[in-house]
Amino acid sequence: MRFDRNIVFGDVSCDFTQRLSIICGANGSGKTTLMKILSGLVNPTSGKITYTPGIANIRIGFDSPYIHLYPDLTVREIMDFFSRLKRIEKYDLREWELHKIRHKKYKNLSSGFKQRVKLAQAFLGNPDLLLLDEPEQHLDEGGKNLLKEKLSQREKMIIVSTNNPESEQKIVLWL
Amino acid sequence: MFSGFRLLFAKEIMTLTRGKSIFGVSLGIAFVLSFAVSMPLAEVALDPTVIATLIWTILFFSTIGVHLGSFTVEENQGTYDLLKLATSPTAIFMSKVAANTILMLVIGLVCIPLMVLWLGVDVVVLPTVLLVSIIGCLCLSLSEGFIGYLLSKARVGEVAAPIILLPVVLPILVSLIIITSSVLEKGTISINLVVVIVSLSLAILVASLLFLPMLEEWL
Repeated sequence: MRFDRNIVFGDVSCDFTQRLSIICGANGSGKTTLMKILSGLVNPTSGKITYTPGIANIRIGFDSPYIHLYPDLTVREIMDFFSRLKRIEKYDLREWELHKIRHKKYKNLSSGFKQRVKLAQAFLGNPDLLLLDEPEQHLDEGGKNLLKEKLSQREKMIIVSTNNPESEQKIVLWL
Repeated sequence: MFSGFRLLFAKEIMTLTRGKSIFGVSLGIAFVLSFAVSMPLAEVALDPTVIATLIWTILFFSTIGVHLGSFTVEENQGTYDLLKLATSPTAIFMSKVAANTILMLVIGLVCIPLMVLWLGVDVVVLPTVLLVSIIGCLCLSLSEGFIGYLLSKARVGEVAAPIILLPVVLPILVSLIIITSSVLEKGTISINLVVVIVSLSLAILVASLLFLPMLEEWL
């Protein structure tokens, strides 16, 4: 992958077949770019990604630190909007303990709760592929436990990128 | 192609009316209206061309920042990527254009009758002026939207975008001013210019529908 003349990363070849895959790398190593490529948002400069089944049939949940949701909408409005856009009939704010702040505007939330809303949005409707770029960022212990619980409950594919892997995690790709 | 359009449109209206930009819109309207109101008080009779210019100044400049900004902000805050995962770029584009057209028309519905009445123009021409404003708002929104989309992809800042846009929309604005002043003065519409404006709108619409998915891949 290249931006102008700078090569971000190259010679990457990997099969994501496990339920949980971890991509690890230092700041600027191209983790977010790779996540965007995997989601189909960005085309690689060269190379190919094959999805089974095709990308048109895959529902993708995505979260990354560069994403900031609509500041003037409330938590409830943001979740309503994304659930209806993804054609999901029901969701529960209690799952991410967001029910108490549902009337608060996104811009007035703490960084930790902003991250919870973003994660809740990514998990909406149990997508076939969940791409989480540094999902633990800004989360407190409670938030991290919720995230771990949600990740362990999921049966579909999850790809997580981090620069701070825990020792028990098996890293699939090191950028 | 238009899946989620209604939902995106509702979201656009909510974000347009709640953000800080709505204060800018109100300020712009207040400024031009106060100018229009002060003229009769100073016993200055305004030329129809000046009145037409004032009308289009309100409609264009009160919304340009909001409209162009909506593309740039969506791109900068990363929500454009989230929308793209759930719907098509065409639906996102059209929802923004539709929301901006509605915003312009609401401003027009408030300001145009006030200005026409206050500046002593014959009330008979009001429906025709409003009809011209509908066509003009749609054309301006489409062209602003298309350029705004391209500029947001090119990562041009919110401040620089209107300056880059101005030469592109200036011929449309001048045509609209000529059409409106002719309506205000003689009560007649210059059909040739209306045809030009409508053709231009259709051309931008077709170009958007055809090329947006391709540009999305390329940019």
